[in-house]
Amino acid sequence: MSSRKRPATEPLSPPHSPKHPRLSLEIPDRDPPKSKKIIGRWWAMAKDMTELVMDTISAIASLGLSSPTPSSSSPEPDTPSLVDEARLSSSPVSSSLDTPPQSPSPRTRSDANLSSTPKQRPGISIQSPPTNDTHQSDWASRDPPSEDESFRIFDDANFSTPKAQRVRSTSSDHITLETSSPNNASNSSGLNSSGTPKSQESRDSSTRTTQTSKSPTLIAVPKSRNHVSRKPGRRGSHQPIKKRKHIYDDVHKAHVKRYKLELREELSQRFYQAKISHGYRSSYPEFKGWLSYKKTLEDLNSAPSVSGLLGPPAQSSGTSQDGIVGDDLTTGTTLTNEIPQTPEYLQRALDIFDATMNGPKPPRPNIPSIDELAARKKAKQEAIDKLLRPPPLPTSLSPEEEQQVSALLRQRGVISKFAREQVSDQDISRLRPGQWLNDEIINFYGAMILARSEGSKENPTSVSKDKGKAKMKAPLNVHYFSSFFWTKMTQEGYDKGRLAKWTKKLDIFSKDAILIPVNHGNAHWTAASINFRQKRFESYDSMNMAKSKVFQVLRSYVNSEHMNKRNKPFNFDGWEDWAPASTPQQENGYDCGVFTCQFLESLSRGEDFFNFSQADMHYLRRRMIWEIGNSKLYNSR
Amino acid sequence: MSHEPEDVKPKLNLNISYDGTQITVKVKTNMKFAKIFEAAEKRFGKDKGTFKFTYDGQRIKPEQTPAEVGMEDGDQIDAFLEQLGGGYCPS
Repeated sequence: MSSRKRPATEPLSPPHSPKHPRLSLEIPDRDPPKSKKIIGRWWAMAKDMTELVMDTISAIASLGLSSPTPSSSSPEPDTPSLVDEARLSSSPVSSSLDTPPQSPSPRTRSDANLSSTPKQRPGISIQSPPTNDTHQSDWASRDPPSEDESFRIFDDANFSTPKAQRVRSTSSDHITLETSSPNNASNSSGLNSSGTPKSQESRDSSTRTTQTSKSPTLIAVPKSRNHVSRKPGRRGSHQPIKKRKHIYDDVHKAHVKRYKLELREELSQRFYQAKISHGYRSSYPEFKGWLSYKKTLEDLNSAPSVSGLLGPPAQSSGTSQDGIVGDDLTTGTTLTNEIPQTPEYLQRALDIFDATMNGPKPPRPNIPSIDELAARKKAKQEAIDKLLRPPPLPTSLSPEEEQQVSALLRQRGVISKFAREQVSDQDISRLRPGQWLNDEIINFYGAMILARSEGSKENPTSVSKDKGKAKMKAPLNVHYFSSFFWTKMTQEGYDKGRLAKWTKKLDIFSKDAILIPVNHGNAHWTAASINFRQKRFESYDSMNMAKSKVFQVLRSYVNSEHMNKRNKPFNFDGWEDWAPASTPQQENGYDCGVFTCQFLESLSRGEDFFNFSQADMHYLRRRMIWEIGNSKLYNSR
Repeated sequence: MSHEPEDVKPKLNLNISYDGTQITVKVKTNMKFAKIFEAAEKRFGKDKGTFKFTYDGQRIKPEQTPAEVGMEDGDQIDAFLEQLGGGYCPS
């Protein structure tokens, strides 16, 4: 089933295939009947020997009677006379009688198969001292066609040796033949198919000769039996190798086994060291346990594929020869073994481990801290604000406006009047670069802010009409206290300064914000705001100075005002002091008034941040001149 | 009778407050503030035009009269010197 699923296994099989047929064929021959067969063979041989002795005796006895007959047949062979003489001494009758008893049933069967080569049997009879007519004729016919070199050599050896040693020499030759039989075996398939069975036959004959001579019997015996068993398949040439283990077989196997164990151990150690260097803490035995457990799990996971790969060879080899049985045992026991990993598995695991550890590390999962999240959120918010906030201020007014500004600066006397505020040339010159601002400018600007707020309240459409042009938020409903409010409040207080009267026409608690310019020591301007929308006391200082006093005064004023107008203390729940660090800062000693005016202007529009900085001061001073000269805020056009 | 209203025209006692000290001036309702400011500056020993006057937080212009801003007897006018600011904060 697995082989059907996995065609890839088939390409793998060819390297094994030469082995497998051998294994499968040999085992059934060898193992089970071995002991029984040996006994049987010995028995048969003893029987044969006795028969042979009897036959030779009878043949010798008959030789004297039938001696003339061989001479008649002697002219036939071309072979040396020595052989002929020897053959002449043997009787044909005995040879014919010899063959049947010598080889049991298989032999006869092989004869039937090899009907084309009847000559071999005479060859067999050669070994028997007596000769007969058929035998000689066989020899004559056999010599010319002998094309197999080994066979010819064999023949030559036989014939060259003197008669007395002949039997012995044949046996020794025969041994050489046997040892060289592997070569024959490799060629044998070709020989068999080419229809030259003589080599086989010669060997058959030679085996039989060894049987006659007693010394080589021990060696020859197993082979003859193999011939018998193999004849039906005609694969006799392979057989001799398998019979005997190589003398270094055990040593080699032990060596291989030891090497595998060592390799396994070494790989395990290396793997362990690698793991240790990457933070593995447990001991080596525990590591081995982990490794075997891992292997087992992986085998479970990959069970189908593993059986697909290893299954067929394991099955075939399981019933096969020694060499692979050994390997088979190791692979078979791997699963239950103490160190179940094959070196291949360990090497693979080690490679994978090294690859993962030495390769590019995967990006660490990013788990942002709270700070990072806050920063990210802030950045996102800033990006949104950037989109929402008005574009950065230009660096200069339009040429027309610049001309107006220049004209305004040249003007003398009262430059502009707005509500109850007016600005003289002296005041407006304070808007030149590097000048401090005075209360006139601040309050004039505040008056414009207040007017814009009240204007939008009374006539909302006038602002919304301009929306497309300026895209400004609708001004908040604010009240502006003049710069003297702070002086009054801090110097005389709410009651003595009669500040209640300042709001007799308005209710500050209904406003979105109360904007207050704060003059500190006649040297510094800051902006303060009572933000009723967001419940904040706000202080915006371009010098980031002390704000606590501002908040204190603002709280005091609000509470007093509430007591005065509502006859109860102000509820400060939810109110906070607000002085953002993002407040734009001046970088010199004279721009605070401009910053203050711009803080107030932005606050009146409900802006939470200020889109100006020190760099914009030159532009803003020019713009303020324009605004005061035209008595209207630039952003309310 | 015709000048009766003039005679009866109330004179206002206005307090002028500067830096915690007060002075009281008695003025006619239709008197321009310019005259009052001048008197106050003289009283406080200041040069002419240096004070800035406010009434209930509103700036008073010299050409206005107490009647125009709706002053009543005993109301207070706040006088301030010019305020400046640039960046240095001595306090």
